[in-house]
Amino acid sequence: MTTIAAPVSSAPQGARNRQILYAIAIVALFGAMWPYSEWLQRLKTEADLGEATIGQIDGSSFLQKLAVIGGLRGVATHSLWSQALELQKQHEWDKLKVAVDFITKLQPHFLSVWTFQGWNLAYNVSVEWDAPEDKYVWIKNGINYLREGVAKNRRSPDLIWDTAWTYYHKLGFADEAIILRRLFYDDPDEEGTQFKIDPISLDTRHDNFQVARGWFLRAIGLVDQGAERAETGVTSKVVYIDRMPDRKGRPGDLNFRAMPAHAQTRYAIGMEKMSKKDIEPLFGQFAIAEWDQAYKDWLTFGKYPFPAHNNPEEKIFLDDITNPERYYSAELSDNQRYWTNRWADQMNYRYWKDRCDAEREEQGVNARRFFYEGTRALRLGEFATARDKFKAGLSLWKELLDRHPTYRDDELNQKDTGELARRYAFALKQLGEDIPEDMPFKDIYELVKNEPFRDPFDQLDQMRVGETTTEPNPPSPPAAR
Amino acid sequence: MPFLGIWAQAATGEPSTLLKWLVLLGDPQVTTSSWIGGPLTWAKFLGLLCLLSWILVQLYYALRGPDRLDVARRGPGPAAYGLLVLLGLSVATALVSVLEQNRRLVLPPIGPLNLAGYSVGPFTVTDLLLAALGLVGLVVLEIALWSSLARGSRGGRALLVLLLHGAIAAGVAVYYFVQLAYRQSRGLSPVLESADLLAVLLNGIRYGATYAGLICLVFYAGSFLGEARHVRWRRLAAIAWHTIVESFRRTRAPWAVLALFVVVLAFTNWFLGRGRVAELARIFVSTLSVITTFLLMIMIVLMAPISIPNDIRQQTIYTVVSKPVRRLELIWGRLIGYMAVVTFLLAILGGVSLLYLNGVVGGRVRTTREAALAALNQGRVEEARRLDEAATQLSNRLSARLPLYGSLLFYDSRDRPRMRGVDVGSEERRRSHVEGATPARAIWRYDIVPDPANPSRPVDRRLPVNQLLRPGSLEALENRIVELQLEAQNIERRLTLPDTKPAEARRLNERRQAINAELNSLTPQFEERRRQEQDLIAKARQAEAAGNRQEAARLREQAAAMHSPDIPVEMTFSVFRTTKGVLGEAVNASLVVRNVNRPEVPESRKLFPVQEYYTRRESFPARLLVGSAGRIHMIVQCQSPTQFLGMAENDLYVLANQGPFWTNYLRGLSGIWLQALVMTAVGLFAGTFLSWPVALLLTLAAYLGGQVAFGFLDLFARGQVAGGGPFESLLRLLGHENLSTDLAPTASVVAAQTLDRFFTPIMSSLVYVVPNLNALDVSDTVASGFAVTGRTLLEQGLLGLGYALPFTVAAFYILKNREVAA
Repeated sequence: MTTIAAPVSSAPQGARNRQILYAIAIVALFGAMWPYSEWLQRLKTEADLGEATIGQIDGSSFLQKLAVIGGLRGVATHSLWSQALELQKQHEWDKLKVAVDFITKLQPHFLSVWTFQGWNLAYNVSVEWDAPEDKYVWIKNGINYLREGVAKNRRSPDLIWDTAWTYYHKLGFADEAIILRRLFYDDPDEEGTQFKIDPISLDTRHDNFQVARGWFLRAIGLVDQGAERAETGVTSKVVYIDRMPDRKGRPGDLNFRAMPAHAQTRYAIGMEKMSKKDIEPLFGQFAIAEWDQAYKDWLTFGKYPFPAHNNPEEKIFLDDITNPERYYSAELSDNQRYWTNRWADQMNYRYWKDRCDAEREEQGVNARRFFYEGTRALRLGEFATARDKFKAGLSLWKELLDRHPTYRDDELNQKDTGELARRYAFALKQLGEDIPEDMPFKDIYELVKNEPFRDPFDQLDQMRVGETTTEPNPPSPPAAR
Repeated sequence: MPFLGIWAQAATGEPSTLLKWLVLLGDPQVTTSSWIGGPLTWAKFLGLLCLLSWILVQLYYALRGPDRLDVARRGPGPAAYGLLVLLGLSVATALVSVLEQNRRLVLPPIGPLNLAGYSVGPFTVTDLLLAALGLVGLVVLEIALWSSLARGSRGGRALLVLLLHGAIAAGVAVYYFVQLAYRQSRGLSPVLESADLLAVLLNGIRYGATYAGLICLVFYAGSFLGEARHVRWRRLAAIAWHTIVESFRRTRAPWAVLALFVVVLAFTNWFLGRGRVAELARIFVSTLSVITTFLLMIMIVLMAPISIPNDIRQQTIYTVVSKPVRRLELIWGRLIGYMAVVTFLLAILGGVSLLYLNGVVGGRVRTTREAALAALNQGRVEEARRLDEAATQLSNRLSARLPLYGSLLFYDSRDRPRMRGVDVGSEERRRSHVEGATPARAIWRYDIVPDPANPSRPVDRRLPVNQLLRPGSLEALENRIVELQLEAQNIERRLTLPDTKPAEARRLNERRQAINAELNSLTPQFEERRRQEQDLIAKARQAEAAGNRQEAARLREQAAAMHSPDIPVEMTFSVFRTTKGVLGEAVNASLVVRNVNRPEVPESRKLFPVQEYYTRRESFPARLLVGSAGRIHMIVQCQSPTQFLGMAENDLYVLANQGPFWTNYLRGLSGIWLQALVMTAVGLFAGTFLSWPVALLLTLAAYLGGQVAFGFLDLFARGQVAGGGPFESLLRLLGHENLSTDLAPTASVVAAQTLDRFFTPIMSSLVYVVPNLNALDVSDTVASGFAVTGRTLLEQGLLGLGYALPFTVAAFYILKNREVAA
């Protein structure tokens, strides 16, 4: 229990003195900090260790980290993470978005967070929404989340690859891809997120596969520079504890290097059909140029020296498989031949290369135009037109494929071409005509005649074709590496 | 009085009303759904707290107080030894129980014991130890009580001690009768069995303790009211003013709050502005509420607990208490002062927030509408529709909608009524589903319906027709006429009944005359207005025929103005697809609105596509309400085959009113104000008996506990947290063990579990003391654009007072008994 004591005297004077002392101390400490921070900054620049090396400096985030929670950052991140899980269970999507944004403000260099939550938004949250327009918004959110991760971690091939993959796969291969790709096509990107910018050419693209190709190329470019995260330019050795190795871009990663060619091929395929809702396909020189680019992309892939799996000294070029002279020459060891063959099979390299080679011919593009017009006529019930178009198309196609036996004989093509023959036969049947004996690809037709194939990425096969369709903007040519 | 518990399955016979009331008063876990239930539970719990603190004070006096025991003066006496034995026994009990539970110790059961013809048991060793513990505790308490009574002969205290003992005895007696009544209701013999004896004893003591607590509460309340009588506004105001001046001049905390708020606000837009347009308001409003709450709470948590300790440390309190100021005034004056500061700050923060919201969110509504217009002009119709929808959603969120909820009933695809629809296996369990293109449907009943939780009790969910129909409109007049006609029919019917008494018949006749008089004046009025309306429409047709479109539109508008506007209905459904369906096509739903009172009125039907997570607004014509007496059914069906529509009761509501946002926002701030009130009371309470650093920590802990950890505390108290008590959890954390594995009973595990036996009950009971701050928070309602009603405000206010008042009273008693000055 307190007891009464004599009153303390001259308190104001003492307090004033103390305040002056504190003020001087504050100024002095600040003064001392100035040269220290300058010195530290110089050291960081010399060792290339600053925030700026890893990625973009975020003023607000840095400020938050330091000023608001300091050492409690880990705890706050954990709590936000479990909060995010809970919000997802409660279907509180917008709050989830705020929470995951906040996590990355606190931990901008924690790669798994970007990878996981970017995927989570684009893949898991988007499917919870029923309308394709809403799905698109969430896929965009996911991709932009990943892109922000890239901006803050410029040396991570993983994040760049994840971004590319989401553009490529989630927009291009979803059930609603036809609508999603149209939404991408129309997206004015009013928020200014540069969502449709190809990171290589820095042009705006209206097709997700084109943008994806740019991002795939960027990931490959980074790996080719030999850049692993935060390592380039560091003069002193950095010691990592429990370091996560990069998932993407390891020496034998075939898929990683094939993706630009895949994206370009998908773009060319999509161009020649109604792969975007109510957008007319494009043929002629535009299509030829894109198929030509696809061919070149496959060649780039085929000519890349992959280290043989069992002997990294020996280099494998997948393209050798299409060049028998070289393949069987003494230049290649048996081991090289083995891996070339095995990996070419694994990647179906022969098919893709030969297909692009065939499709980039004028004849190929013209045949595709006939097929498109024929299918369209078929859907509208104009069977005579359909018959004529298919007939013209198939004979062109036959001539072309006879020059490209690898493409012709591949199983993938048999399904594709077989379906075209089936449609021709269907048109004939509707007109009461018999199938002519000399119908091209009759052998393939016999195989698939009872197995109709509906292209999941073609509006003609999946949806009603609207009254009004739009002529597409002519594309700008893709940027080479 | 509807009752929980033991009579739920009673076959015959109801217990007497007196016994029911005694149970209601005696069992802390029994309550009633009438208005008295809440306050009574609160009183019972406060009573138990009073009893506990009274016992602790008595024990303290017995050992340390001014009239402490002689033995305690000379050295450790029997009471102190008793306490030591108590401690040893409780450790032993906990240890044995833990060892037995882990099977490290296998002891044979003891008993059954033979007591006066009853055979009781068998008991485990832990049971017996517990009994011994109880006995020793009782003895120690009794010694302390009686000897301290013998010393200081205070009449009031002796009476209280006697009353408390009586209460315990009464508790046992009441439970005995409860048991008897129970046996009687089940048709059993009125002689208790051996198994019941222990139950009577233990539950009787529990009841008795509650009665004793209530008696304590009455004693304390009496003496407190005696003190409160002397409180004068003048002195309160002086102390409050002093507190305000002190907080602004000395700590300058309010200025810091204002400065911080502005700084945080400047950064808010950076990472919030990128969300979906439709949800922007919700995100912004809730974030602003969180920031405001956080800043104010931190200010309170820092200022309130250090105020009294500071005064004591700097000895200013001696000057104050030597003046004729009551101790209660010291507490309440400070409370008022701090709350004045909070009110001032809330007004500024609220005002700035409103301006900010108006700028950012209001601005977004405008730009979105402009974008919609631009899209429309460029021919992007679909996008324009979407943008417009988003802008509407956003502006709806920035209002105060007053919803009227119906009672939801499902019918499954075989037309059988169900409480819930189909479970599609979603983690979110709130919604259940209706199958498409089948008879399955969901019916929102605005009617007198049985309470889903208690089917024997009806709840009134009828629509307030007079509130929904515009007064003086055609529909309102017609409704009145139909209502009167129905009443007249009813009277006719009752007059024909043979058992109507003459007095009643006279009253009915009088009423019938009154109705007829009103009908006679209303009917021509209604006819006249209808004629006017038809005239207007006829003129409009003529104008149309003459090609005067503008005139026709004006006339039609005039005619429409004579009607009540359509009644808006808002709804949000979710979609579950079992097949992809047709690409790009939405799932369709239908809404049928039916007047149940007059089935002959044609129903309103709407068919619309469902957009998930968007609130859709439909409406039905006001004339459906005419003569409905508020009894309306709204039937929702899913029209797309193989798809399911998900819904919960709150997903569809009639919009009674849409008020302005800003008043609602200010009402929402009341939640923050109440939280500040509670935390101020807690802080002042902590300051009365702790030094300032400890008081600060305690207040901070109470704040964090109430704000962040209350849900956890609640789960913990209900035993739903896996992984054991605090010490066992710590071991699991350190040993990287998951929550559900059985730990090997090593020495450390046993030690931890033994310690948990002491700490778990303490932690569990925290849930009753730590204020549930989240319950006071209404910011979510405001953020979702729903009105905070006066009723909500009242409930919140009572809840806030229910927390704040006991803390200030406790603070007063502590301060009163502290020797701050002679």
